[in-house]
Amino acid sequence: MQVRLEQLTKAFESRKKDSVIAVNKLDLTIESGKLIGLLGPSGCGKSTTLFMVAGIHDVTDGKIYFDDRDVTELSADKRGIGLVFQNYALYPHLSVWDNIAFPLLNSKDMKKRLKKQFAEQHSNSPNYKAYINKLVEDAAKLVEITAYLDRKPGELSGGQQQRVAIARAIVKSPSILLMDEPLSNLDARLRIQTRDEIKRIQQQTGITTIMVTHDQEEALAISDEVIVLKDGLLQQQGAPQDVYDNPANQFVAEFISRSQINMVHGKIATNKLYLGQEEWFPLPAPLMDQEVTIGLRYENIKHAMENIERSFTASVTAKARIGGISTVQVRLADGQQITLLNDHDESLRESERLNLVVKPQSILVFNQKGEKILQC
Amino acid sequence: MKPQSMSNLFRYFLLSLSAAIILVPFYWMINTSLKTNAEILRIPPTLFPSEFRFQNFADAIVKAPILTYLLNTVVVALSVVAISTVVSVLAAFAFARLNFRGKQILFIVILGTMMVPQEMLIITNFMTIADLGWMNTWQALIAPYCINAFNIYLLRQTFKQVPDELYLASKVDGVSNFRFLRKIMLPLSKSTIVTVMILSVIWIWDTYAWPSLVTTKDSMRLVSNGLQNAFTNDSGRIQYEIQMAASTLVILPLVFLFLMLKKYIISGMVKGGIKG
Repeated sequence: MQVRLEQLTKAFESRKKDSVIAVNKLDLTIESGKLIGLLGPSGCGKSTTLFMVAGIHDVTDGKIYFDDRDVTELSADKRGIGLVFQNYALYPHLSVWDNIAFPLLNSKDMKKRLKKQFAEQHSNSPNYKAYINKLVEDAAKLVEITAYLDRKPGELSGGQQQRVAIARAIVKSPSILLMDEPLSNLDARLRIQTRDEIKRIQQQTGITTIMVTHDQEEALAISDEVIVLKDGLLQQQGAPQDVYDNPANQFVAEFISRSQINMVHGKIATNKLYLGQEEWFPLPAPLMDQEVTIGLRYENIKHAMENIERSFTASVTAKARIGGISTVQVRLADGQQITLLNDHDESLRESERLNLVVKPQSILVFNQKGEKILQC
Repeated sequence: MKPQSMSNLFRYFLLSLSAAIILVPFYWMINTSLKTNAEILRIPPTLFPSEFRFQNFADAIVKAPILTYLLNTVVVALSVVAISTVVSVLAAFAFARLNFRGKQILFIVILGTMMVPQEMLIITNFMTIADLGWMNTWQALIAPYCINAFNIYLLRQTFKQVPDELYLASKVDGVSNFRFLRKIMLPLSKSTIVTVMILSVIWIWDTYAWPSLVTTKDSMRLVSNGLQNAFTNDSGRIQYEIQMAASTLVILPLVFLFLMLKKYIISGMVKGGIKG
């Protein structure tokens, strides 16, 4: 199902101060069947947006459409969504089976729907009870927890608990699956495992899925599309690689790169780009003279054999090695530091002068407001 | 001695002391209940009965309608537990989970009633009951105990500790408030609810002033009043050994109840954030 947000706004009233705007006039379209990563630093309004789509927070202004249906005023249970919480929100006193079956057995609307489905489908189940059991087992099978149906949530690992939570959300075959930071309570190894599980489950079911996360790596790894928010404002929406390669502004560039980017001070004067104080190269198209910030990702800076076009020189100040990744720090003529990946050259010595070039289309130039004015 | 074990020693000393203070009256009650009438009057009093007189217990049952009192108390206690638990659970759920206008103020008002001593309420309550013509009726004994501010408070605290997400998850699944309360809240708060029930029973068992005001007939009396009035001999002197035997009989059910449900009561107190 397609999800469309129109000028969606959420303001939280606070008695003492002015109301806080958590989500600000958000316009978004999420295509059917996609896995979307809703990404941003904490406090950017991503969870608030999710909970508005879920129907848990009411909307201050704007509209939410599921396909062409306006669901803005609809209560959460009428929207046909499945919701997965960061802390799993499993019922601790119920077995895994009971947890998954809970949505099927405890809602009047759901019961009506299931009874109808059961009558129409002439399914293989001999009776209604067996039909319910089959639905529960199918969901459990999908998330691979059939072995634990009799256990209590407390007897499962975090990753297994999260699978149960996902099974509980999809057992009622929702048209949209919403996940609020589903991985952030897991340890690093489980996080990657569960992340890939989510991708697999989403592809198998084809449910439109929105996953909120503050971890760009998580979002980039499994999303069909990422949406980056900051201070309740949409920054960028697009395919993960596209957002990574072509960030819309300085915030997205820094956030998506997870600090693996140099932000170097520079300027534009008489249509030439200056790296620090040094003239670097003439602009491909004319721009106003101004101070700029130049974004250079670690992995895009390469050694050049000699002084070629767009190369610049810097001297080595330090080397570092973290696991398999080796970096080197260099200093520009005006003292600014740049870090780059040290691909192969282990023989670099301190204060050695290097010729460096930057991969084409990966020099990101931002103005003082953080807007991208040039990428070349 | 290590400082750790020193402080433990001190702790155990304090605990023993407070246990002794609480247990001595119990011991004296049982001690007295087994003595002969002559031994009771002996000075100095004996710490241990020189001769066990179990006949006191039989006398207690025969001399006064103590079984009737017990039965009355059980009827009142069960009614109060049933009604006040339902009222407390519903009120606590509303205060913990629902949003309605005036919630905070109403809650403060209910808490405020805890500050007013019961003895002050007795007068107005008595006038109300008398006006309703409820003297010597069950409802007079039951009604004033049906709303219990402390129980509401304790349950609300417990309910508040159930994570919001559980409630939201069930809302998304179309589960009604009442069903959520029944299927999720109550099972998760079992120990506090048992605590609340026990506290209500103890309250009724111990209550004295109110039932003695609204009942005049022996057939409607509760145990506490019965114990006070029933055991005087022909010369108007209280027969302590029989009174104490009756008292022992009266507290036995409570002791059993407590021992049976000890596990729940303690965890319930801890869960509610109030250490008893």
